[in-house]
Amino acid sequence: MKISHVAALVQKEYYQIIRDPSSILIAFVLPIMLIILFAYAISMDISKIKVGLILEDGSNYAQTLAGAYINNQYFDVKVARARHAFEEDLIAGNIRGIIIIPRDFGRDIEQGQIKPIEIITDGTEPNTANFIQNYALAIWSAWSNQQAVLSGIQPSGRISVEGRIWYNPELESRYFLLPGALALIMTLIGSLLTGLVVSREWERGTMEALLSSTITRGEFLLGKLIPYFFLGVISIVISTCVIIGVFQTPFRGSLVALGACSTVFLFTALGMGLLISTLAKDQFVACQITFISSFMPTFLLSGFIFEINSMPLILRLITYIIPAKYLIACLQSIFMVGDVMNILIPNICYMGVVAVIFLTLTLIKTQTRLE
Amino acid sequence: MWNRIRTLIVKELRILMRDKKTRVIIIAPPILQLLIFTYACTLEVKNISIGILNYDTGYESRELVDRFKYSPYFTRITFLKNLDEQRDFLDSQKGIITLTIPNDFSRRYENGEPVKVQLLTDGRKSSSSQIASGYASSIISDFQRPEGADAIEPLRIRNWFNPNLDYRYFTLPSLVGILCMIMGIMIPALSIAREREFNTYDQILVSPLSTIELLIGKTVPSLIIALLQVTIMIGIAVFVFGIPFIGNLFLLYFSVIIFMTSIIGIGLFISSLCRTQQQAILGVFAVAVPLVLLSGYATPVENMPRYFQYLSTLDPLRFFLVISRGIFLKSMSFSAVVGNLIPIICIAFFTLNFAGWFFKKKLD
Repeated sequence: MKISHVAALVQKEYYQIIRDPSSILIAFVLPIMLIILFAYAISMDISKIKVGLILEDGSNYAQTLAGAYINNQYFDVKVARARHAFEEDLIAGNIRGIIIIPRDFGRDIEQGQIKPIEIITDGTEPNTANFIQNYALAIWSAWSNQQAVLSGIQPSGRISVEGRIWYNPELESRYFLLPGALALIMTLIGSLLTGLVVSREWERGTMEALLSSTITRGEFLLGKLIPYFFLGVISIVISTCVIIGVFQTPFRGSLVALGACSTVFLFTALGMGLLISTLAKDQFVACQITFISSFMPTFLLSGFIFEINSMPLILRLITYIIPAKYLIACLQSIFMVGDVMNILIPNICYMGVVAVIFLTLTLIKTQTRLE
Repeated sequence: MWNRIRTLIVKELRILMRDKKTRVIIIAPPILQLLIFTYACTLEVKNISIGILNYDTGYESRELVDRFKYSPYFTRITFLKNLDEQRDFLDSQKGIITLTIPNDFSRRYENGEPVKVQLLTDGRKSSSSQIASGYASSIISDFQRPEGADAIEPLRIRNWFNPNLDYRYFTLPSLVGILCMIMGIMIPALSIAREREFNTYDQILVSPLSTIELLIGKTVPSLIIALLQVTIMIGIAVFVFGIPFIGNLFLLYFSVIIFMTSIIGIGLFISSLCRTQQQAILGVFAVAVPLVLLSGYATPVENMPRYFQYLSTLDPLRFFLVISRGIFLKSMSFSAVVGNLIPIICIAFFTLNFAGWFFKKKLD
């Protein structure tokens, strides 16, 4: 292996990167865009849900309960008296649920019974439907505690539950989404960009020129690895600054830990990108495979948004071979908890092993002769 | 004219289906994605691992712990001995929730005095841990209900269109739109970028094709593939996953055609700005990701800040998802569908015109 060969290749790649606006797009514009989208467009914190309220009963109890549903931070309420007033709206998706306070609601309470109120939700959005159920119940409970008459009907609990949330007491979803966005950014640069670059060499026939030169496989791979590694590093540094500086995400771990796990993960992502492009030799195919095998798993199967334990067994087993799962665990801990060695060391070791496997496979699979 | 268009369409389809690798790559990924998405995208929480720190040795506390043991939600219980173990349990993500029972729990509970237990949850996984803590609270309130007494149900809940709130009812109809959209942007964007990269675009320029013919010839092949994919995906949703399809199938196909035309317009728009395939792919990426995130699939549009809500009105996918779920599950009426199609038509009009203008400029 000659340093001068590698240096020449790196230089060529460097020119290609800075002359192509799309590399700048992927390294600097896309990351910032992803961060902004994850900070604002994805919010796990539900804001006011639009519901319709049907008040069939005119009693005092019904009025105060309706008041409780109208004046709270969970619901944005429209009121009507007839039962079928809101069905069209629910089908069209203008409202997400209907709350019905039935006839005789007040009379039953005076007789010492509880008449259930009816809740209809739009099941096509199960998440929102769940929130409506929970909020509707919470508001009912708060209201019933205020109503002295009801206290005799409801058994009061003796055990009180004190809930506390560690690491993220305000439940800001961006605190865990933004570190996850970092993982997506690394996958983009490492796998997608690198994947495209090598398959382009095949597609355009410049690979043949390289093959007929005196360059060895190792030199070729290093020539591709080094420039994109640095591009990735620059992009991570900028993204991290934006996440911490602009979006005020806590950073409780150390920069050393962040550097260590990002570096190792970048190598796995680069290894994957190189391997895919070596096998695909076609940019469209490489792009599709990268999307399926690295971008999508990073998004779906890494525990970043969706809980791994809730998935079916097969998918849970698949998550073990997805490097992003290990990175996300590291990143979320570094940002929100600190350097938890129990998490960092095993996860980094695993990613290291994956990187070595990918790079070795690429080295073996890179052909030095034409078919 | 029709002859020329047909030739172009046949040529485009041949390029897309040129060899086994590309054929597989056009058909297989959307189906694979459909399956993985459907199984992975659930915000339900199951198989929760809980840590219990029980300082009490009394009977009542063991009863309470047993309730957790027999709960279907908490499948793994770790018994913790002290605060250090508890901290390590949460720090190292061995579980997302712990329950602490104080040492006077049984005594006070038997005497009817108020008593306090503590639930600690991991804020790194805030949504799952909130749900887990909801399950735990309901186990605790069941525990203290006197024997034989029924739970008072102050609410009678009915979930329309999806009685058991099965998450797949939401995911599958949405994915039909999302996955077709990704292909629908990618194929036209790449087809022109490819012509330019291989310098065959100049040959089109010198051919007798007019702007409108070229536009149709580039749009129709992607539309054919999109319709094929929609058909396969609806088939999977209905026959494999058993999602009921109660609406009008023709209305859905009609909407798909309009939606895909607007999407292909976006793809052609991107390709007009790109010189290489790499640029086109990255351009597609830069457009498709925001389209998906702003569509209301990941989180409802109402939850977004106001400016993002305005931005999302430029997103055809936002309107198509309402239509797709509406027709699939709610048998949405024609007028409601049209109300959502109008913004899509406006977007299609704009993007196709721009692409046409671009082709024309190159032809002149």
